[in-house]
Amino acid sequence: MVVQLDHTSLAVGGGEVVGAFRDALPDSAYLVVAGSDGASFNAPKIVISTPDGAVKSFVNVAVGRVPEIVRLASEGFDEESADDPFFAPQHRVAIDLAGVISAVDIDEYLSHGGFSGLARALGMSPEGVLEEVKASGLRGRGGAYFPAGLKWESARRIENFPKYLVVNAEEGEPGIFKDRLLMDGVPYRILEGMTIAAYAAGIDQAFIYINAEADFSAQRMRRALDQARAAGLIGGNILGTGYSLDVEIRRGAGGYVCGEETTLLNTMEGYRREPRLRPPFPTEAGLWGKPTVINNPETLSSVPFILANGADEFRKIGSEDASGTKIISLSGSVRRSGVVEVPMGTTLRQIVYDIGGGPEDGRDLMGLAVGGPSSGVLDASMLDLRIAPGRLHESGVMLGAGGVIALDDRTAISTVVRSLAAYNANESCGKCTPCREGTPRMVEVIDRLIEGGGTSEDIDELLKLAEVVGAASLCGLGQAAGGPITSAMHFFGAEMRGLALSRSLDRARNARQ
Amino acid sequence: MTITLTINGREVQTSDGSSVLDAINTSGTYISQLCKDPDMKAIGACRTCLVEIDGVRGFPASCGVPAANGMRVSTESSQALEIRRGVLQLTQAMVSQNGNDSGRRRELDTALKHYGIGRPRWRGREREPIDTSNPIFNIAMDDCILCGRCAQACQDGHQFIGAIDFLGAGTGSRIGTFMDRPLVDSVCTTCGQCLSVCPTGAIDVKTPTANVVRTVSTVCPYCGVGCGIKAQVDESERIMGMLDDPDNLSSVGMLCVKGRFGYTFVHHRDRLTTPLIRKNGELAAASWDEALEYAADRLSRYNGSEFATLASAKATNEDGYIQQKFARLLMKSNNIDHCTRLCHSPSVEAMLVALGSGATSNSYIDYEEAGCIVITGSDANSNHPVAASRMRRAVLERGAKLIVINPRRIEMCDFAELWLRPRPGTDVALYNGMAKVVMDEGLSDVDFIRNRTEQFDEWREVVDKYDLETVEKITGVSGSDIAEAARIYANPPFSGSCLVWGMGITQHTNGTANAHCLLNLAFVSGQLGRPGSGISPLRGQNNVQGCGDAGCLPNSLPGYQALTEDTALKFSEAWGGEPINGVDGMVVTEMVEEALRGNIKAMYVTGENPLLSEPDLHHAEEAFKNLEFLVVQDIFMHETAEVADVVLPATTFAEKDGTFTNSERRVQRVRAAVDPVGGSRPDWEIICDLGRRLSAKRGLGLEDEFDYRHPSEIWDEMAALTPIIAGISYERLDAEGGIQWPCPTPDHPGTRYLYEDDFPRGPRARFVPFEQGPAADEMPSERFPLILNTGRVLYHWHGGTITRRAEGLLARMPDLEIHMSAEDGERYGVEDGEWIRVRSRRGDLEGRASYTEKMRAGEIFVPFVKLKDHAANFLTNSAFDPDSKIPEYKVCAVRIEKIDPDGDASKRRKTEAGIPVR
Repeated sequence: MVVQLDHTSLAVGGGEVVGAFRDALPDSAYLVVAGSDGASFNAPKIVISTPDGAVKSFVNVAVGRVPEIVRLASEGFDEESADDPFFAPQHRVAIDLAGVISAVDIDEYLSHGGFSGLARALGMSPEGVLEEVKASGLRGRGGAYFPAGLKWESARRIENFPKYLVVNAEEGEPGIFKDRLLMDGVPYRILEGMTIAAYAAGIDQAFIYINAEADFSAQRMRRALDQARAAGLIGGNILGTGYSLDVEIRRGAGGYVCGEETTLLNTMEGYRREPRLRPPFPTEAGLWGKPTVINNPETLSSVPFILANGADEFRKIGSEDASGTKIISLSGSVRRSGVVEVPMGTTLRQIVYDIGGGPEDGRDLMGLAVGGPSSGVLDASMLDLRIAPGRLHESGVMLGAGGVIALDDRTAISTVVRSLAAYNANESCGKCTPCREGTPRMVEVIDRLIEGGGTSEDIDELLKLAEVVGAASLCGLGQAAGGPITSAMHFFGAEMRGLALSRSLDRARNARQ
Repeated sequence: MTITLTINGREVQTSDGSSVLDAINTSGTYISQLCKDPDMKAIGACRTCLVEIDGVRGFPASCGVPAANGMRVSTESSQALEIRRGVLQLTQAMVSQNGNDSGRRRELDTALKHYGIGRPRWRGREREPIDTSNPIFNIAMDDCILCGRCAQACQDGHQFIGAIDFLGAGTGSRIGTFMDRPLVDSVCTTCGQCLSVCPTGAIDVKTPTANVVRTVSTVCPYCGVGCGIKAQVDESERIMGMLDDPDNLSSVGMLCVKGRFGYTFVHHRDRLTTPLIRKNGELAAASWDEALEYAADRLSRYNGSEFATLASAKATNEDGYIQQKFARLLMKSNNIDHCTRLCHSPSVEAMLVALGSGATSNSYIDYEEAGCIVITGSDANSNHPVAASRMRRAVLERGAKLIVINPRRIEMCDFAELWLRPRPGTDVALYNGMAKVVMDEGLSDVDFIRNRTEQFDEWREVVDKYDLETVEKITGVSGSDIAEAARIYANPPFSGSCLVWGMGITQHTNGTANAHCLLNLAFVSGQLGRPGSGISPLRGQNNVQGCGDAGCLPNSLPGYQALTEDTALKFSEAWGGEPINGVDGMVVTEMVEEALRGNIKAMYVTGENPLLSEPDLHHAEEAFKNLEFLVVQDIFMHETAEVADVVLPATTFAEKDGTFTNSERRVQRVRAAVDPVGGSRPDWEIICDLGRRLSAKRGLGLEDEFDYRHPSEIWDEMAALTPIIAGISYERLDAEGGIQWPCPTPDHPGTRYLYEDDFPRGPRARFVPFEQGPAADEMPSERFPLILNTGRVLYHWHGGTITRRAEGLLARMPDLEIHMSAEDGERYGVEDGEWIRVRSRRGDLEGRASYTEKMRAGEIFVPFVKLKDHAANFLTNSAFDPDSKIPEYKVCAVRIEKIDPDGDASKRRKTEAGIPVR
């Protein structure tokens, strides 16, 4: 019996369900504690395989159903069809083992081919690994989509030691929850990718920086790290090759902006959580002034595939100019929400309708909030856009870290824009003037519009603010903070202007009286 | 290498490594830059220097973009201007609720005006209350734009103090202290570096400067670091502000609280403005003519050993040179000395014997480059704050290892790798022990010892007795710490090691022994004569180096030319042919004794106050009152002037021209910022006037020898007679800034560090062995169970004659603080903050008990500033070091007494000099 236990299932009673199964299962049963398979709408989910090969899943399991399921398991059942609409359209490279294998036993990962990418990499020269990864076209999955191989190479070229690798598992933004799925479900793959990256970049010290609130993920990573160390896969003289990598887990300092890489470095050094001026870039002078490679767990989780199967196999996935897959955090008004991995180039329609099942019963899709709190909103006419690194639409909407929040016809665009703006204002670190001063002003103006006190000048003001804050801010948080406003004005301009209009009419009426 | 780029269509050249903003500034194009300080690294927070660059996406802040050849930059494109205006409007809204008094907010107002931003576009937003806790300046958050320059200046931009930083986040961001306490309760030293970099005046003095009509570059009058200062003079011809000087090579833009805020004494109402003559027992105003005629007449009755003079280490080189010329040529006396006797005479004595010259061998830049700094017997944070900042930079930026050796837990311990806490007076054993470790562990510099030293074997025989076990027993410091300190010093992680010391080494009966032991340690480790290494006695007064250089010493002529028949002849010939005495004169402490005996009958004291600075003041007062004739020349009335026959009003540093020479041997120009206050005159001018009158009275015909139109003429005469400064002239100082001696010729660049190849005494330095003697002359007893240590504090200068008249400094520390451990406080039933009495065998004082972790049980500390009529030197012991004659200020036995609440201290009888009667 595979029990999927991750942060989502924990939130809906998964912990109690696992406990109940432990008590109720006969000694002959073999309990596997896995992470989530991404189908968050099913959590808590268990999968039972019988000795005769039949497999059956039980979803949204409550503690009360445990005796019944245990009975069914011993009595036998018919196998269900494998053609699940949530999984069928996906192409899983990074999360294929999530929810399938144990998240707490390294042997299961090994028996599923785990660490074979590392074994191959360590048999090659670091330069050879760099070439392979460069040839694969892999780009960073944190939102900036910088070619991973180039980043490693530039750190490798600089003569300044020691050098560091930091796994950026801060993932602080609302609507993005895929790195947690990786940490909860396939922590070993992150470790494998990290070790390959460090080897290629000439690094012997790595840090895994995990969001301050993601205690469960941190536990899983810590256990995985301990097991990998015990197995000789991390630490001194890995697999007898002479290559060594020290790894430490660090916890985040709190706040979305900590995911911004120079802010992350500041917090690791004990400084205020605020971004640094670039240049120098972290690959030249990062942690404690030393060359530092910073990669996202998702990026690193694609690396074992590339090494195990070759760059060409990776390039076969995805589109012409963007190889590989992207993990999408799908939420909002969809029937099937969760973590989804699809090839680059997949349309939003496939994601929202084919995989997600479209909006909830009786609702129409109004639009999508894409990419996280600062990337922007699209209306329902944009469903045929294909996901790609960087900008998705001329209005400034970006894929970012791959969040898709479906908005249905119950949603007022003004409240969406307001809550995104309020989030940015709240998370602004306070260092640079445009972001610190401008983001609260956005909220101020939107509030005026929502409360009926706004005018058409306020609309112009809002657009101007979005432009100034976006163009002048120091880091990505501020640079993208105007995105929701400009894209909302682009797609939902009439509704936004309508807010101002009522006030203008009032004023005109008052003037006549 | 230069880079050429195009800014707004015009080609601009800039140096490699510049930013685009640097290039814009070089081109003369204005662009707002609120968070970028010219002397600190780019922060990138204000986002108002944004530009457009061909081929670069968006609007990068030019402060953070390295300039590159061929770059095409536009500062004024309509889009860049629009966005810049948008940012400035958001910035304006941070402070806009304070009305619209244009210009007050410095750089912000300039930027708003330049870009035509008038009426605020946004409603003002709520800000935090003003922190008014510091008596000198406020932090007004409602004028703050959160640019971060103040925090940067307090941290790695300049001072490495870290009192202020950003607190909070988002719009809740604010400048504050650790745990959000009022500034005055933080580690803030009130250095004011923050307000000097503030672009809006949010951090400013409580009464901001009025219209400045001129700014005059000169040198700080306080400690021996010799920081550059720029006096701002307003329409009323008063100095209203003091700026730091980023171009000054010694201070590189830094100042401490005294340098920046301690200038107000210049215009204090207590300044002496007219000469005074004692008539019928009272000092009464007189004309200059009357006073000088009278003084000349009286002085003409004494000659040779009957006369003595004290020169001032606060006065200029030129003043000092003229004073020793006056004594030697007109009074036939070599009885000239100055306060070095009371501070670094043991260092000078030891260095003269071991090296042949008494000066710091390295420069401040060597502290920054050293791999290890040992600082012993010096509370540099209080006494040499800017040098201390440079040491903190070495530790925090370059990873230098700092080793503190001090019985007190001074603030530098916060930055130290190791802190050794010896019992007072046991330094000889400690340094001998360290030296033995260096030898035993094979860390000695064998080549240096073999080729460049002598008497090593004799010394080694003595030092070999100081094994770690013995030393641990004597000093109370653990053997392993001593060994570790020795290892780091002899074998620093990179570069060399600097050995820095202060009065804690010298003001002991074994002061010269201590200094020799330090030199021996430097020799055995070979830690001198290279960049990043050296031996540094940190000099106290602004011109204590120069005063000695100028010849205000009883045994040497200018430039440490030993007083011999030959040198006496050389100077006599240069000075008009009148013979001068070739026999060594007396030092300060001997003068006091000889005055008491009646052998010295007349004295001329300039810019010194021995009746506060001498130990055992009751004893000293008797001596001075025993003189037949005493002339005191100073800027304020003080204890010594009170008992004088003639008092002559001199000008301060701010009203005269000349030169000071700082602790790194750098000669720097002092420039008059304002006219002399009242009837005061510069020291050199007074001495010359008196000299001409005296020459005439004596019929010596030497009037021409005291006739100068400007101090530069005095300098030229001194330089011509003094090889170590022969290449320095006012023209060079004006053109190049300060120059470090030795500088023998006009084309010589000056000398950063000494002893690269040889020593003034010859090719070899000399090891001089010393054994640990008794720790101190006076040790604790049953009646006097505590050891009193004295020293200085940050907010006051020496006896306090000056700083009591600098209101800001006095407000920062109004009472004499008696530092003690809480343990002693409890033992003697004294509460923290209680007004108490401290008594020694020689006198008593009153002050406020202050519990501190700096002191260990059994030892208390009282600064020697006189506050509310109480001074540490009422208590100290006049026992002195046999070689240098320095008094033992650092150790005496005392007890603590509670004050009888019924007794009225103010009614106690006092002597003429204001010393309470025993």
